[in-house]
Amino acid sequence: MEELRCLRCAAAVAENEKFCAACGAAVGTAIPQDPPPKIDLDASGKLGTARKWLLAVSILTLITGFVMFALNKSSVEDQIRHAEQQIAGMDPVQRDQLMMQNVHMTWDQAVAHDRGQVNLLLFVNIGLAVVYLGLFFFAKKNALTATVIALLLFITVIAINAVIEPTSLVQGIIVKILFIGALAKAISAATQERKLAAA
Amino acid sequence: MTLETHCPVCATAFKDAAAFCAGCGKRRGDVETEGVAFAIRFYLALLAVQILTMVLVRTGTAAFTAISFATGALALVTFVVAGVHHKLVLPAYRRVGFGPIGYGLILIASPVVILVITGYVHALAHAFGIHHDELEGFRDHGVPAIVGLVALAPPIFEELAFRGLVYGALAKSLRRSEAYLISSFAFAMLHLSIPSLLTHLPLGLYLCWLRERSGSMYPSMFAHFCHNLGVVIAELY
Repeated sequence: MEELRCLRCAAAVAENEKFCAACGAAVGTAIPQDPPPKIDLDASGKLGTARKWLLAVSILTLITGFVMFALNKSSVEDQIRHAEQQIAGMDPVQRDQLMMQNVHMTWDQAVAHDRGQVNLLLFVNIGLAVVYLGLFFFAKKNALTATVIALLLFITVIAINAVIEPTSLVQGIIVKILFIGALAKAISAATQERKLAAA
Repeated sequence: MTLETHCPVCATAFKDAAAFCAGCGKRRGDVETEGVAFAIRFYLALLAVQILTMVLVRTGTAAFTAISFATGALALVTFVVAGVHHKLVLPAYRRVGFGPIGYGLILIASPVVILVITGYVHALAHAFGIHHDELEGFRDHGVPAIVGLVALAPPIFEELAFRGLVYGALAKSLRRSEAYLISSFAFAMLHLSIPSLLTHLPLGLYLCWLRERSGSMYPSMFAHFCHNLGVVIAELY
């Protein structure tokens, strides 16, 4: 039986192989040998942009955290005042029994819980801002790792916020798209750069 | 960076000195760096399941039903991906990893790990005055169901997902320390709790270290099981 050969580079190809192991051409397809594509990675430029975005997102997260804190605090205090008016005159024991039946907490526990949620959200946002800032510095040392972690974290946070408050998905949508785009470009460039370095 | 013997994308064996995969036509160098893209895509698939679970809970589905759904769906996604990329994980399931002393040390270390993590969670809840119940919605469903869903299932599919597939794919493309960090961040983030990043990131690094040190999946699965069982026991009793 005649030996099967690649139509592009004439390397020997086994019968069960779909692609030529020497040049990557699909077996049985004659593909003209293209000149290697011109590579313009600009990895450092893309990383610089991604780092600027990391810093911007860190600052934005911090600002948003404090704005949300002020808004949530006022809203929760309003709710507490409203609830206090509703239960005014009610026996505290009866009130706590009612609370336990509905939310498994006493009145004082529920008030502390609601206020605590607001404070915790501020703590989370400050923590996130610190993580983004840390990734901004870490990206200078290890671009690929920092940008991959930042991308996963950013998408996760957007997804969590979207479930809690669906309208948050469209808030700052341009910033979100630009940041994800900058990170994706930086990851792609850093990956390509490594590939070239390995080659 | 070592040259692969099998294509991580389609698992076809590379011919000696081949520049391209004969199964899918990918350049061999390209294939090696595709670990990052694979890890991101796989993480996003798992995240989609978790987000769907959150939506179910917020739209009134009972926590136990939603968590049961999440466990089944996460396990399904993980096992399907593992089936396609079985070459990444199978060798690590063929080794026991450690001897009795190694497993004994993991057992001895687990109360410390449990104490640190549950201590942090309770301290945080106390500091913010938040009512927190790790097993909320589970308590009416009996101990076997809780142990199965919380202690037994996650060590099986989460370890396969993060120490097997994500870490396995990244370790082939990146430096070990980078694979440690990214896979542990992914593991911590998938728990959808930003405050718990502080505890789950070190936990992920520890489990990754067990995976790397032993060359086997079982030590990290055992450590994960001990931790989750410890949390269940601490919360129930």
